Amino acid sequence: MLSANGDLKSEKARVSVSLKKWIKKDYACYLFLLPAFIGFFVFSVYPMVASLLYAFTNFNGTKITQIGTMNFEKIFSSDIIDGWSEVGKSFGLSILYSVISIPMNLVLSYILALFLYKEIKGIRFFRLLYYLPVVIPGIAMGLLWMDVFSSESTGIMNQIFAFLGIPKSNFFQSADTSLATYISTGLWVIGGNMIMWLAALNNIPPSVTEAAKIDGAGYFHRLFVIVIPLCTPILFYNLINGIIATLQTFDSYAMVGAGVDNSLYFIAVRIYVTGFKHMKMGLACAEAWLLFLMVAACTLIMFRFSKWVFYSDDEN
Amino acid sequence: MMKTKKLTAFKITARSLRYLLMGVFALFFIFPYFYMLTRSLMSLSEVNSASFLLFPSQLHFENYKVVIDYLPYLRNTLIVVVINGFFIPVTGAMIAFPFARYSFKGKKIMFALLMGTVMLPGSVTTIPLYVLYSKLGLLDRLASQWVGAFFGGSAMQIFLIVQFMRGVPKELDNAAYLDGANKFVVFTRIMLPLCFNILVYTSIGVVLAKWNDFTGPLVYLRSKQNYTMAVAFYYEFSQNGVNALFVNYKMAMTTFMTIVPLLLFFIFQKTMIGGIKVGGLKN
Repeated sequence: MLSANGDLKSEKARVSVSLKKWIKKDYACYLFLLPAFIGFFVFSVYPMVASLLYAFTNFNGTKITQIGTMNFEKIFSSDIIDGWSEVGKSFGLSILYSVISIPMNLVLSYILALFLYKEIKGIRFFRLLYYLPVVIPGIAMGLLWMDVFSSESTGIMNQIFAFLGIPKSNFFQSADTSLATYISTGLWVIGGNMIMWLAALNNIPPSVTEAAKIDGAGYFHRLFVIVIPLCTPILFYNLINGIIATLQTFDSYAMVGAGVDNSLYFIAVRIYVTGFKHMKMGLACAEAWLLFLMVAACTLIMFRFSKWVFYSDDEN
Repeated sequence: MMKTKKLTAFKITARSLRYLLMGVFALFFIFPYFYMLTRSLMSLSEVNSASFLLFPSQLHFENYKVVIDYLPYLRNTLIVVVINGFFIPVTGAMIAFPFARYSFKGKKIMFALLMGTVMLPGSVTTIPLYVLYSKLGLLDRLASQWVGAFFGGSAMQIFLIVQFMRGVPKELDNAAYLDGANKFVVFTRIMLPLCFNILVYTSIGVVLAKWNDFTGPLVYLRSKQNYTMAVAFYYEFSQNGVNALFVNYKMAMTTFMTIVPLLLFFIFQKTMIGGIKVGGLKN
C-alpha cells in the first residue's frame, strides 16, 4: 500500500520532470510556431468545420431556419439537363478546363524551355521577353483580353483572323467558343512555367548528357531517357499546383461573369455567386465542400501514384 | 574541307532560323504590352473606329489623367501591400525556423497538417471567414485585407523558406550556441540575414499577389473609399462598369497597374529566378 503510493509518487515526479525537460527543450520551438497554430485554427480548421456545418443548413448570412441534407439533394437531383445537374455542369466545366489547360501549358512551356535552353547570344533577352506577360496583373490582363477578343469585326483578333482568311469569331460572346478563347489566353503566360523548366534543365549535370552523347545516343533518345525523367520532380510539383489552381479557376469572373449561356460558369464562380449574390450561403458551402473533396482526392491520388517521379540520390 | 564548309553553312542557317523563330515568338509574347500601350495613347474615336488602327495618329498622354482618380485606391492598395509584404515573410520565417532546424514533439504531424492546407480551396473558407470577419467588425474595413499577414502566409511560402533554411550550413548555428546564444538570437542574428534572399522572394510574391488581388476586396469591401485599386478597376471597367466603353482609359489604367509589378520584376530579377530554383529543385 505504502510502497504502491510511493511508486505512484515517484512515477508522478518522473513524469513531471520529463514534462519539464520536454517543455524546456521545446518551448522555444512552439513559441516560434505560435502564429502558425493560431493561423491554422482560425484560417483553416474553423472555416473548414463551419463550412461543413453550414452545408447542412439554409444559412443566408444572417439566420438559419432549416437543417438537413437539402443542399446536397439539390446539387445532385434538381434541374437535371442532359444527365447533368446544374452544379454538376459547373464541376464538369472546371474539370474540362483543368484537363485541357494543364497539359497544354506544361507541354508548350517545356518545348519553349528546350528551345531557349541553349546558351546563344541574346538568349537571356528572349527568355525575359517571354516571361513578361506573366507580370501583368490578372484583372488587367482579363479586361485586355475582353478587348482583344472582341466579337466585333474591328477587334484585333478578328482583324488578324480576317488577314489569315479565318472566318470571324464571336469569342467570349458565344457559348461554343468562349471556353476555347479563355483557354487560349493562357498561352501568353506559359513563360512562368518555362522559367521553372529552364531551372530544372540547368540542374541536370552536363556530364550525364555528355556521357550519353559519347555512347551515341541521339537528341530525342537523350531527351526521353535522361532529360525528361530528370525533370519529373518539377513536373510533379507543377501538376499538383496546376490541378489545385485550375479546379478553382475564378479569373474569368472578372471578364465575363458566368459567361454567355453560363458557358464559363466554373464551380468557383458558382460558389461565389451562390453565396454572395444569391445569399444562399448554406448551398454555397455544400458546393465548396464537394470541390474540396475533389481537390483533395486528386492530390492524394497523384501522390499515391507518384512512383514515376524520379529523385536522384543526392537530392534526397 | 568541303564537309566543314557545308557544316558551317548548315549551322548558320539553323542558327538564323532559330533567331527568326525566337523573334516570331517574341512578337507573340510582347503583344499584350504593345496592345495596351498603343491603345492607351489613342483618342476615344480612334479606339472605337470602324477600322482597326495599330498606332494612334497623335499621342494622347492626357488619357493617363485617369490614374489621378485612382490615387485614393492606390493608397489603400499600398497599405495592404506593405503590411502583407513585410509581415508574411517575417512570420513565415518564424514558422519555418523550427521546422528546418530542430526536432520536437509533433513536428512531423504539424508540418503535414500545415502542408495539407494547400488542398483547402479558398471557396471553402470564404463564407465562414466572411461571417467571422463580420462578427469581428472587419467587414468593409481595409484591415480585412491584412490581418492574415500576422499568421504566416500560405503553406507553399513556408515550405519554400523551410527548404532554403535547410540549405544554410548548420555550423553557423552551432558556433553561435557555443558562444552562448539561444534560439531567438540564432534566429534573428543568423537565420534572418542569411535567408534574406528567399524572404525577398516571398515578399515580392506577396506584394504582386496583393497588388493584383481583386477577389478578397470583392468579398469584404463595400464602400468606395475602402476599395483597393484592383477592385475599383474591376467595378469601373469590367463589362457592366461605368467606364467600360472608354477603352483608352482602360488601357491607360492597365498600363499603370502593370508598371509596379514590372519594375519589381526587373529590380529583383536575380532573386526571383533564384527563388524559383529553390522552389522547384529541392524536395
